[in-house]
Amino acid sequence: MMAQQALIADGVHKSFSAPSGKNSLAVLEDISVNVNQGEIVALVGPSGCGKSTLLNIAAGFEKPDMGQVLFMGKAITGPSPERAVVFQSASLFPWLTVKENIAFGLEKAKVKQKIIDEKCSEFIQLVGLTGFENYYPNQLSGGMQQRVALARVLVLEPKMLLMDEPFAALDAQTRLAMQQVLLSISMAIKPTILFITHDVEEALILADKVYVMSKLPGTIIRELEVPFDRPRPISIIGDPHFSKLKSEILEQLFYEPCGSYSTC
Amino acid sequence: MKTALKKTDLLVLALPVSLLAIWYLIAETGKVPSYLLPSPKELVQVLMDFAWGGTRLTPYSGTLVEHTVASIMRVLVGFSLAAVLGLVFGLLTGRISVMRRLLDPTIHLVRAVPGIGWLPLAMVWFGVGEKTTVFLIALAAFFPVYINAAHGFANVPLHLIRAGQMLGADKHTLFTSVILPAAFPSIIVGLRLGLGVSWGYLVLGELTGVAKGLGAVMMDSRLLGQTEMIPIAMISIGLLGKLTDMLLIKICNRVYPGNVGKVAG
Repeated sequence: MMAQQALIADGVHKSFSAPSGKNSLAVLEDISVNVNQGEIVALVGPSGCGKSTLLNIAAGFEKPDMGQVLFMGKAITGPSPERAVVFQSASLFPWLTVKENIAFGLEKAKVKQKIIDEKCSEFIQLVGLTGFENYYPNQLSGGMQQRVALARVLVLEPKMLLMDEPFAALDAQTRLAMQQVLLSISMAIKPTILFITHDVEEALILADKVYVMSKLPGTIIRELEVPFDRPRPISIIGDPHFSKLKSEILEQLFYEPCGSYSTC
Repeated sequence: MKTALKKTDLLVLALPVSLLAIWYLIAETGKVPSYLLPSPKELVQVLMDFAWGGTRLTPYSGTLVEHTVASIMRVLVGFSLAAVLGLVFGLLTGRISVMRRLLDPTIHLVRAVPGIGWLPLAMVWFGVGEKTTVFLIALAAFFPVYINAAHGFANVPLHLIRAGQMLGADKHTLFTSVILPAAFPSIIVGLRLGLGVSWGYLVLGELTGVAKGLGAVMMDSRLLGQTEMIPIAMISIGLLGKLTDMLLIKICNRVYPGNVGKVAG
């Protein structure tokens, strides 16, 4: 059975003009990525390698200079709730409470208030924030804020989640906990996810497929299927096979551009 | 009432009460003539008479309300003009780069001329009195409102705008539910500064010669030898400034009840 393709990036190029003027900085070079429906795909690379730029293009915030990005077979024209984004900083609206933040998208979709109330409490429970409905974002810890950010997009039942290093700003323990939250949610609702991270371990814990990116200008230097069964408990980190894959990718990131898929 | 009393911070009262006490003691010694520094006791009597009349026979007996109403109306009209224009222009230059390049430098050039410097020209244009006062208030209050609104609108974090877009906000709802609330704390600062400036320019305008108004009381009472009215008018304006500021904050907090725009009174 062929899996249904959700997101396809084909030969994407992107460069930004430097603040000083004409010299433009090539950020993405000939990037091709493929995310199937129901699949979690991680894009791992060193910081500043353009992985967020690719996500911004997929989200519709930016346009590629060359190449195309298709979602469900159609070109992306702009941001849409069907491709919901979880940002690195939670980016909650500070003037709204937890519940109001989660209701934001439903209100914009003109959902009835009664259904909004029901859905909000359902998803607040899903991310484990029952009792915090009326708190403001600045009264929550970083991990809790990121849960709200997750709930406010999940409540819209998006066709795809774009996650831009969502746990990078959290402390190590909270990060592991959030990975488990995401894994348990993904067991429940099987979302399609493009997950950007610089953390190889995180990519291997979460993803079905991992793309490894090089330093600037960003190119894909390796694509691999993650061989581990789900559910994946935290203890998987100690698995010898896991460690071997992890060090392999790390080495690739350090010694690039000489990986097996190198385009140099 | 009792709870309000309990909540009052004694430390807040310490300074005004001791100043009042020192003032009272100096006046009681009798070493300073009362036309230079009237005693607080005497001022309370004057204030009572200014408010309700009856105890003394001066041109100001029982005229507090009419002077106050005249002043409040001028502030209201002038400040409203400043607020509307300041917010509209702030929005334009804050959000639209063409507008910023077109308007912002000129606005700041005009701002560089001190507000007081407009007085002679305003008197030529509008004559002495009502219109000049309202013009001066509107002009002076415009700049703080404008600068803070433009700053607030220009500095809405990009990630919040993107968050709003990807959650399904269109152009209109993005403005009402993301841009405006994000700019709001800055807008409040501008409005408060503008309102404060309004009372200042009210006095300037009224000093030039209007029949009614607290600024007129201040100026004319000196000529009429009623110098005890000067501090009374000053105190009245101070209290009105404080009251209108509290009212403005109340209104602002009602518009956006979130905990970010909230400001202390």
